[in-house]
Amino acid sequence: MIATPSSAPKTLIATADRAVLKKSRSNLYYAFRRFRKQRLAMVGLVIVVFLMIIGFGAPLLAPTGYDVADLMSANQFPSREFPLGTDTIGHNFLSRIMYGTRTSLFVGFAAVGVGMAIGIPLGLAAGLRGGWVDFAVMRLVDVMTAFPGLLFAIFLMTVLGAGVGNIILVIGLTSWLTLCRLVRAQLLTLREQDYVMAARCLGASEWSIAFRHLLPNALAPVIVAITLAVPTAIFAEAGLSYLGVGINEPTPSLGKMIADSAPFIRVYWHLGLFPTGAIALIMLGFSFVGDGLRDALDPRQA
Amino acid sequence: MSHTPDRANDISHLTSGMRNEDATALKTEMTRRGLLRGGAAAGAGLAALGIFGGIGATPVPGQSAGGFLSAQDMPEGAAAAELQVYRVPSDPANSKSLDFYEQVYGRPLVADLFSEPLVRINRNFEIEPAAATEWSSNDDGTVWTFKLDQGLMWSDDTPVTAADWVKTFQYAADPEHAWDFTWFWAGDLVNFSEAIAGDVPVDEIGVRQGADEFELVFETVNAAPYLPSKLLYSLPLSKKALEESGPLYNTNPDTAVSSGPFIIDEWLRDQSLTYKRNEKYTGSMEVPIQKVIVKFAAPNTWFTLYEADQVDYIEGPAPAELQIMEADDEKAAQIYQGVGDFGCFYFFFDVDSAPFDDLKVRQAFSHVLDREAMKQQIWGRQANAAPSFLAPGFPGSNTEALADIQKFDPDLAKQLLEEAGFPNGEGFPSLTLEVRGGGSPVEIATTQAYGSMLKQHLNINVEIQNVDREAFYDALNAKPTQVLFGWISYGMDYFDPSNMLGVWASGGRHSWSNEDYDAKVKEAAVFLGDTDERIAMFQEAERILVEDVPAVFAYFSTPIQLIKPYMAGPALDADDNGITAVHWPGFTTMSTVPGELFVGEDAPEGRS
Repeated sequence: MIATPSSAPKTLIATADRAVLKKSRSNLYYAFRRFRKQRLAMVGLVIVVFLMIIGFGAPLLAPTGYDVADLMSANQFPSREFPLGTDTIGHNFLSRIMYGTRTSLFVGFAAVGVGMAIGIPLGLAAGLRGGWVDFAVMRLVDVMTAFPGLLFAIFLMTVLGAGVGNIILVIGLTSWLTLCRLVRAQLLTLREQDYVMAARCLGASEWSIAFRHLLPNALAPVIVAITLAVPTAIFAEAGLSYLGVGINEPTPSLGKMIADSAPFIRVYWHLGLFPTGAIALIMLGFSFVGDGLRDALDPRQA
Repeated sequence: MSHTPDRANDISHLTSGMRNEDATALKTEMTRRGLLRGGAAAGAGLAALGIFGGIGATPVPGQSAGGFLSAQDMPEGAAAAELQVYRVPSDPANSKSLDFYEQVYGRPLVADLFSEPLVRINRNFEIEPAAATEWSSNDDGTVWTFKLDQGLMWSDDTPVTAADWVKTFQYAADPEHAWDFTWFWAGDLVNFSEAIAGDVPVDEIGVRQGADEFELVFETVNAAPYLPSKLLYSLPLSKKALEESGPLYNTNPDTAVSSGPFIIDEWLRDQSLTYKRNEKYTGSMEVPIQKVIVKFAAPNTWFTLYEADQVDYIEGPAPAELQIMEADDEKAAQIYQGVGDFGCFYFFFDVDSAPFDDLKVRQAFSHVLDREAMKQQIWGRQANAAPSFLAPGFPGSNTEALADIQKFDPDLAKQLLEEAGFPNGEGFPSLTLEVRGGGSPVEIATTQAYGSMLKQHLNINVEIQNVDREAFYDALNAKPTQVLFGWISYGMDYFDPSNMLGVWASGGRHSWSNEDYDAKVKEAAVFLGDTDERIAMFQEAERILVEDVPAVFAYFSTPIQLIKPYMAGPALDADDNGITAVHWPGFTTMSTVPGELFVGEDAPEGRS
């Protein structure tokens, strides 16, 4: 960040930079304070951290591996031995839920990563260059928006086949639109700001303006959008797996566990309740954090 | 049958491993009855009874007196005509078209009501005349002549003639059409295999008009004593409609033409399908039901529909749903357990590809399937262990003698895998088990449990992938097949071992090929001597099949049906083996069921 331009008004820019940086640092500080004051956001944060521990820590924490099953102990209700019971083929359901959470989180983050890798550069290009680039990107966005997301995802999954890698790709491919539009809109607003004008007058290149002035200022809403995109992606994975085009056995997926539980739920209630609860918890946690971040990072509150 | 009267509702003798003598007794009985009934005997023992040389069927009295029943003709205890609505669910994923000759494995739960096959099957698996009134063969059993019911009319007022069948079979053999069931006739009908391959034109296959337009002739490659039974699958399409409106004419009410008891009324994709009565039906069944509504819903929601009185019949409830029904006496009376189509469900290999080209690998796989645990924990009443391919009750079944070949023995499995070069599964490629989509909860749990057993006992990682049914069959039928390791089932098409065992013949459904097996099945199929001897030949063939492990046989389905208490009729009476259930193939003109099922007087009003 702290580059030192070699041109004449060096001191001036450096000072300006420092001012910006100092201001942004304090902004973050205030944002964090505002975030901490929101009870729901903190609850969300606790949930997310908890889920990450049980999810990503599953290999260490889970009582058994996700593919270990003992058919003779199938269909058991929660007990001391099996805190969440066992499923129809004798998996320890606690392990399945933990690994299922891991799958969900992994797919959620990775899919959003794919979405970011596509959406942010395209949004940047459209917002910065304008003209035919903007036109092309926005028409692409229009075309993609015209496809119902779930149907398009089902189509792609059917063509590509089920599997973790494919589902990440497919959710990424259908979720970059929001980010792309958001980044573009931010840039369109920001590039008319006075400080951009000032930088331009001082001879800063387009690239330096983009990365030093525009992107940092556009970041807050993008972070919020990313945080909120994670639960959406997780939900999409659950939905696709529920429909049978998502993740293959024996990799656990909460959505698939819910789908498989449907015929059993009237008797073996735990098969439906726990994965549904886990998905609800994930959605709540990320949504609370996202909402909290949005409020905390809102520049109007600065 | 000796054990019928006092065990009318007990089918344990059928489902828990019928002894050989029982099976033989069953066959003989059926054969005799079949002959008495005037139908050509289905299955074994045909030759012994001198089927060749024009034994044919005598027309059943009142053959053409069928049709729909008006209010005053309804069977005793039946509700009024306007209440004769039969509602069933169907899986939308498995309901792509309506005609047998369009897509055998993609039809709704109730279909095949738009024409009459040459013969149909009753609940004792005997064939009865339908569109054909009588039939006969030449002396060597290779030319079969069917006399057609001359009164049969299509709903567009054209008569049903031999030309309709000729056109239909040509359509079936058309390589452009690429039908998913061509193997059924391949190798049987003259030039059929060649036509599928595109080597001869379709008009040269062995199906042609006889002396006049009401005589249909089939020419077979070898003697085919089973042909009349096999022609259960002979629903004709209308030649005129096929030519004028294309093969999907029956899916559109505007172009639909029927000579069966029903015709399409309305098809709301993925919602419902309604069949209304074909007012011009001239076939031999007397059909009380006036309207059939097929409601599209995923199978795991059928039970809910059933409980909410939205449907009158469901099959394959989940184990937990069955528990709910069993817990209540009144509900328990709605449970029917049949033998279905003697379906065997199995895991199969592409034996031409590594690692399954090694017999030891296949044997290892066959010894880790713990059928006993599955019976106890997953299958319950819905299935029985299948150590071999032919289910108890089906002619030739030999489950006890073959039980040890693929028995559960993890230590032996480990040893075999090591001998094959994969000690403790090391170096074994990661596998994908491809599962035919739309499977029942029992199928899903069975495949998952087998995956975990392979991991547990052999340390082999198996990913289980659900594949859309149509895509699955395309991949399976591709030559060479694209399914390395899959899950599928096969049930009978006609009541003879040559049928079930035929699916494993070279060039059939699977890539497995064994000359010895082919020869034995073929020899037995056309064998004209003693019935027991013929069965023994089939059993030798089945032993080869089980020993060479092109498949790990998992279970024989004993499907559960739930039927509302107000549904009635002879279709729900016990058959000769004491089995009470709507018998395979269900509510279709290939079966006598449409004439034997009705809505009783006690039905609630306003069902739709």
